[in-house]
Amino acid sequence: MKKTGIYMIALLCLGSIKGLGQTYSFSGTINPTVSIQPVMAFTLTNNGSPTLNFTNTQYSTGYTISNFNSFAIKSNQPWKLSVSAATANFSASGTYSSSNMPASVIGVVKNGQTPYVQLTTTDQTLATGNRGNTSTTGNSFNMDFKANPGYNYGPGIYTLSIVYTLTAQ
Amino acid sequence: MCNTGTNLLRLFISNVIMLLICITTARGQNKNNYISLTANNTSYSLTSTSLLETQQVKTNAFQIELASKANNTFSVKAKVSSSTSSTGTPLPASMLALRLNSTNPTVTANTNTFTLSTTDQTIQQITTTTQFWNTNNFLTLYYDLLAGPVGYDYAPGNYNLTILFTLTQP
Repeated sequence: MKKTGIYMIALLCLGSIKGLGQTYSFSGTINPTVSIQPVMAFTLTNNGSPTLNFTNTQYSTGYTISNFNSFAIKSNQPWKLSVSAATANFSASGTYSSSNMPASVIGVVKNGQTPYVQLTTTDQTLATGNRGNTSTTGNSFNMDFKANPGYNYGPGIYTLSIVYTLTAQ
Repeated sequence: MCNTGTNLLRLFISNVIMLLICITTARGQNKNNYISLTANNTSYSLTSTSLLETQQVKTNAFQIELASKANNTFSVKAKVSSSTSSTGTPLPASMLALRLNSTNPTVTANTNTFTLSTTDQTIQQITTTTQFWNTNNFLTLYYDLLAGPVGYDYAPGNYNLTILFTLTQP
């Protein structure tokens, strides 16, 4: 009986000593939060002079400039770049100028695509793309430009502001 | 017969006492080991291109208080144990990093920047000359928390992460 008792005591102590010898761990946590807001931006580069001087040939066929503008877009959501004219007609100056030359004599298109978008005061889609920075495929591109007033408007100096708007799709 | 019964009773009582002594010792050690996390500033709001494109640093973002009666050697491990978002796509653990800013009292500690992952990595292995053994005498580690750069690949939304710290002693 004594042997049994000693055996039991030894067993209990061994079990407890094993418990004492183990590595203890204690844990705690923190919970960082990241709030990502919608962020989008673009840069516009004029690759040439925005002033066009028409010759006879250009009156008949229009004035086309490839890669007129370059765009570089970064956005954390799918995007749409729209284009419009700030006013319905060009502002005109000069004795023989016409005050009714519409914005639609200007056409723009993403390089390599068709057809040209004839400008109005209403936003029209120039290009779309996916979230990413400027190195994301499709987020950097050029725009072609065409002006074709024909012979319907008098000689003069005509000015029009073009508005580009970047929005989420 | 009577003797045998008495002996059995003595043995039983002895066993129970021994067991209680051993368990009490083990529990006492647990009781006097201590880790406490306090978040001071661990929220980020990314509202501009510059905030998305650069790593954001929260200085003294959180603090870890440590104590151990049994040993003055501390090992602290960290990992991201959870990452969820309102968009369905969580931020990866590697989006967060931490760096020791200072300690109180001053001890020799690792000030490297640790980019987190979902597996434990040892961020501190400290042996002190002072034994920190209760909540009135603990070692405090002040940490900077670094996030990003997040970039443009994650949709607008709220992202929640949990960093799990584990104090281990030999």
